[in-house]
Amino acid sequence: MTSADELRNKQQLYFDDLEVGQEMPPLVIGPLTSTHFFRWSAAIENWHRIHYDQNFAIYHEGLPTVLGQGSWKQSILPRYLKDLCLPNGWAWKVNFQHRTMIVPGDTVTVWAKVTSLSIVDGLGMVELDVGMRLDYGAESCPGKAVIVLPLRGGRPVPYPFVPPKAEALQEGAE
Amino acid sequence: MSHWITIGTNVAWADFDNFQKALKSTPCWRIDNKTTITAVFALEGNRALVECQAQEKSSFLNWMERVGFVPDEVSEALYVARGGDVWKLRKL
Repeated sequence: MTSADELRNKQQLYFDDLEVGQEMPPLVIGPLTSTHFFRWSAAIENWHRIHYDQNFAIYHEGLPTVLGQGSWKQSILPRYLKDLCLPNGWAWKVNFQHRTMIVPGDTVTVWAKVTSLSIVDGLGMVELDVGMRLDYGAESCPGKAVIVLPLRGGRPVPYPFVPPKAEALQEGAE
Repeated sequence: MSHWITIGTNVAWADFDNFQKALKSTPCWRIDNKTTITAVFALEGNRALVECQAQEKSSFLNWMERVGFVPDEVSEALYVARGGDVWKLRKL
C-alpha cells in the first residue's frame, strides 16, 4: 500500500521517462479478508448479502464464498492510475472487464504497462494495458487506460483536465 | 449447483501445517468455476469431513483422488441448518 506521506511527496512522473512496453510500479493489496469486503459494503451502503453473509453466498446463491465488490475494483484501478499521475498529471480514461471473482485470502496486484505514447497539444498521452492480477495468476480486471503526463519543461496539464479535440488526438497518433 | 458431503480418510491432514497448506490458498478450495470445497473438518484418527458445492459429483470425486482423500461414502445434501440459518440446497 502507498502511504499518504508518499503520495504527498511523490515525484512527478514525466512523459519523457516512459517507453512502450514499460511496466509501471504495481500496487499490492492483501491478503484481503471478509472484513475488507464488509467495510466496503458499509462505506458505500451496498447491502447485497453476497459480500458479507457466507451462508447466503454459498447456500442461496451457489457462490464459492463471499465476494469482493465490483465497485471496489472500480475504485482501486482509478485510484492506482491517479496515484501514478500525481501530483500534476491526469488519469483520463479507464475501462476494464470484471472477470475472476476476488474472494477472502486473495492478494491483488494492480498493474499497468505502457502500450502507446503520443504528444497532443504539448501534453503526453500514455496508453496503458491495466489489470488486477490475483496471487495465483488469474486476471480479475483486464482493461485499458489513458493517462496524461507533462513533458519535462512543457506546459502543465490543465486542472481540471480538458480533453483535446478529436483532430488533435488523431494528429498525435500519427 | 448441488452439495455433497463425504467422510473419509486423509492421513496428511492430521498435521495442521499440512492441512493449512492443502486448503488455504484460493486454488486449493476453489477448484474451478463450478466446484468449491466449502468446508473441511479434520477429525480424530486421520479422518475428515468435506463439503463440496459443484455442478457434477464427478468434479468432487476427481478432487478427492487428486488430494489423496479416500472416501467412505459420498452423499448429496438436501438441506442445511447453520446456526439457525436454514437452506434448501438442491438445484441452486
